[in-house]
Amino acid sequence: MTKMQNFLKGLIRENPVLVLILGTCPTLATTTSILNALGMGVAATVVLVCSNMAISALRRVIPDKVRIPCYIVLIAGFVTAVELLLHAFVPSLYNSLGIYLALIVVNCIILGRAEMYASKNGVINSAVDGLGMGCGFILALFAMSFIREVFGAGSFCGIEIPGLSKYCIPILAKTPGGFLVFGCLITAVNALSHGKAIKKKDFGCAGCPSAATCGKLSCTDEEKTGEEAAK
Amino acid sequence: MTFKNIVKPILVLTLICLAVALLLAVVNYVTSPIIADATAEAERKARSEALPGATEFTEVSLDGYADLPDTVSACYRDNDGGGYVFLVKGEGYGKKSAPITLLVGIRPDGKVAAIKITDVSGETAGIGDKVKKNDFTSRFPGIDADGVDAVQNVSGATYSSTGVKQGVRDAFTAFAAVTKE
Repeated sequence: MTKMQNFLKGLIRENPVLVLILGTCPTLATTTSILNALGMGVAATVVLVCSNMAISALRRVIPDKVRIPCYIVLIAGFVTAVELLLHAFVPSLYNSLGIYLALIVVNCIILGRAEMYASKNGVINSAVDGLGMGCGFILALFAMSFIREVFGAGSFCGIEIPGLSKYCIPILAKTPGGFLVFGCLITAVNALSHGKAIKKKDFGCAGCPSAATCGKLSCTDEEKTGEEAAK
Repeated sequence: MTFKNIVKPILVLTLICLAVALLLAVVNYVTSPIIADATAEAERKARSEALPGATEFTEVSLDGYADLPDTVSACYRDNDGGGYVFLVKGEGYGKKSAPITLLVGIRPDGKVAAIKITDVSGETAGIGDKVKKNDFTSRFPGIDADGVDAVQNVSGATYSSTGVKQGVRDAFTAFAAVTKE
């Protein structure tokens, strides 16, 4: 896989939000306005690229047993640094993102990429992967916030659109509308890729972090053993 | 075996924690003065907005006054005698855990100069947080203590509007106590 392909896969084919369905919480919460969504996307991307690089560089040093605590400490460190920097230099964004900024620590995209990619690949590739996934995240957030702000609040980046602000659909800016738009976007991506995107995702049992201790080839095995145990 | 299984993980995790802590200490050292400055500046600006025309304030201690509503957390006097600014909390939809925070500027003649709502994080986005907009806050300047109830609420946001009004009423109670002498 070339670097370009590695970067591009995050945009649509393995889009973290719309195909892998990771990081749903910040996606729903911060997409009520375009500027918030972009701020969130950029902040998460910075953290993602930094953490991917650090984890990839340390992948031979970190013992398997404590890899998750190590990843979390590294990610939390980068998030706190970004939080402090935003508070100091972009206070308006810091205020509008609020709690969701700190919650980047538990953003599944970042931990997911650390576990799935950075822990197995080189530093440069991991950085490219992080950048691609981050851009995919930004793209998904932008698409969602665009629909929600333009049609839900009748404004673009906080500027009211004449004519539209009187006829907006307020539910789009609320939580249920968020789910609605989210579902429609997933449908759209599936339709565009003819369902291939979903099948391509590499989250089989082999990708599961507990695969080594679980020992089963697929989750259906588990049901069978459960039934046998009942007998 | 023992080293690899027990000592190494502990060692690596400790070292990573130390390195991250060091990095954060550096970032914090750089950003904390900027954050403190920005916060102080934002507070000063907000006070000026609540009391137009005033720039320099002196904090008035509220410790000596009995029977003050506990929602009033600070009071500032304009150095040029233009009135007082009260930092109050109003109970909106976020109840006591996430109250609306607002600054109420009151002129010496007992009329509201302006109000500035600084925190509506406890209110519903798009509904309750509309009280922060100028449409609502511009209904307050010029009213006195008896006129607060007559201010029209934001349609659909009765709880949040009532919270703001309660904050303004408490500011008037504090104003009466502070100016009694």
